Amino acid sequence: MTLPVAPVPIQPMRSHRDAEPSPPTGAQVLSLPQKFADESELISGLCRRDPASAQALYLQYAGLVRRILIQVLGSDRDVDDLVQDTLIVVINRAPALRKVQSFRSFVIGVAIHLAKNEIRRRTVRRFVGLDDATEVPLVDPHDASAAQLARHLYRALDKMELMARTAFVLRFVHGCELAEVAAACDCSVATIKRKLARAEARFSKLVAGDPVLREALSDSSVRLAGAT
Amino acid sequence: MTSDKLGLEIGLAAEFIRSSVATGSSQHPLAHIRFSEQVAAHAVRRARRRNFAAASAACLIAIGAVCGTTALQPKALTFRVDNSATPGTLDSYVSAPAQAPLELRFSEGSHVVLQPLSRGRVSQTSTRGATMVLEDGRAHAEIVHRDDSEWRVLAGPFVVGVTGTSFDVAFDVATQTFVLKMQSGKVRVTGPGLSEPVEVRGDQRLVLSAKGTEPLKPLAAVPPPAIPPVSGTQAPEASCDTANAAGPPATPAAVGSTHRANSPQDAESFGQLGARGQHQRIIELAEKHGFDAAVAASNRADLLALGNAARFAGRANLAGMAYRAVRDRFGKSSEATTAAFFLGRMSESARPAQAISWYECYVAEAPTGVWVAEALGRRMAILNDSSGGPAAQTAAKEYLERFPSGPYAGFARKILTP
Repeated sequence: MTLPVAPVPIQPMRSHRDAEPSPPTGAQVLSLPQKFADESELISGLCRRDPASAQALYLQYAGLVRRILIQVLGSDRDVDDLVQDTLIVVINRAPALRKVQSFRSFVIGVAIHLAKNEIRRRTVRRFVGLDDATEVPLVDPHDASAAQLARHLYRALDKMELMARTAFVLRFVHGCELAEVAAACDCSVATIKRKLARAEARFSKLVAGDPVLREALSDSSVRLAGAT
Repeated sequence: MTSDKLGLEIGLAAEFIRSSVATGSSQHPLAHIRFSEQVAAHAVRRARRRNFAAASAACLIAIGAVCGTTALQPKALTFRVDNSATPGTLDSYVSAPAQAPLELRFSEGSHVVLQPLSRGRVSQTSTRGATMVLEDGRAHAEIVHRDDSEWRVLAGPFVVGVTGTSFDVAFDVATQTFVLKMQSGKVRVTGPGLSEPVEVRGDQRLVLSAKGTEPLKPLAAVPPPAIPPVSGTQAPEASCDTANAAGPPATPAAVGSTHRANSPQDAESFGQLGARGQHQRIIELAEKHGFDAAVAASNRADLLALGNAARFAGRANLAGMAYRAVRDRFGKSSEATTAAFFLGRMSESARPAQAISWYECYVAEAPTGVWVAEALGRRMAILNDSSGGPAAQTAAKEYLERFPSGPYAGFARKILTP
């Protein structure tokens, strides 16, 4: 008589390495960016040259700085370097900061300052023939009409005074408050109001003198990329 | 254009930029970590740059300091002869014409005026002074005062060390006579016969002879002036002739240069005291040992110093005694000649006729002496005051012929003006 034997499934053999999972070769253990409770804590960390503070600054402000730089310059060439330069300047000048409330304006001001320098540099390079006009980065790079409008728009902005141009972009494109624009441009609110008024008038003249802009901006059916 | 339209244009443009311009990026998930590493690297670079900048600044400062020091390094004095455009040359002779003086202007402000017919040269210049050689004649020097001044005037064998002063210096090659007349400041004189430098200051005068033991040249004879009796003693009739005959051979005569071991003032001679301006001390010493004894024991330089000290102290009798002793005992010496001039000075107010005689005696004995202009001028003034007329006019003409720009020239012209 034979006893029925229940079949035992054969388990594949496990090596001793499989006993405890190990990280893949070449992997790195990274700390997550530290969250700061408020900006004063962030500034204190920047003053101490704390790497975690630098990382937090980058995560918090790199996007804002990048956006402002591209909108002011109308180009994304070298913008990553400019973002980095802006944030390094912020870190270097952090010990001199008094008003914590104005930290955002301070960061924007540094970015605007570097953007102005970059515009001047590019103007000179273009003047001596070392720099070609660059295309404005667009959300839809295949939209020819948007590319043409962007090109004409930034050509008009190029003809404006540097401070008026930056104030114009900060106020109307970025939607900054007058006080914030004034702080970023390092002048009084009254001055920035005058500059903006002049910038508006100048922009209007430039639009009137440019058929592409005149047609596009006076046409209520202008198609705004991304607005649809 | 209305504000609504303007606002619409700007609004549309802003909206276009906001919505159509791509501002996002495919940001690396570890970008923030890379950024913190960049910040650390930047800090290192910044510190390195700062050190480099500090080192560069230090180098620049050092270079600037070296350049500045070199640029500010004082340069040797230069000089110009009579406002000429080109700088004067070292060791080249300059000679003043007979009609006018010749001026040497030095770059630090000093100037030396060579009187007519005088000649000299600038032998050396340095950052702190110059060496001027007066070969013959007279010169007036105005030396700018500096603490580290190295100015020297060589007149014959005598050296006048100057730190900043104004003086007249003369050297007569013929008589080998050195005369220094101070106007301000002080100088130190060294030369043969002077065991140590003699300091001359204030308005002192120093007369030295470089002839060694040779007797001075015979002097021309003039009618002897009458010597007034002094303090009850019968003064001998002193004359140029008798005085010349009476004196012993001249020694290297110098004010303060000789010292007699057996003199009453063993420690210091009258001449030395006089050179330092200690006239009161001379009088005290002379009175201590007895004036007559002091006069008898003193050499010609000491006698002249004694006479000067007594004159300065208002002791006219004692001064006259000393001066007459110089003339009696050392008649051929320059001190005796000088004594004649001072005897004339002392006689002016009381006995003008004697003063005239003494002045004439002095001029005859020392035709190129330092007091000649003074003697002729004073003689002319006395003649004008006493007799006036042709005698004074003759004296004035004589004065103007010899010293057309002398101190009494204006007075002489006034006499000659009808």
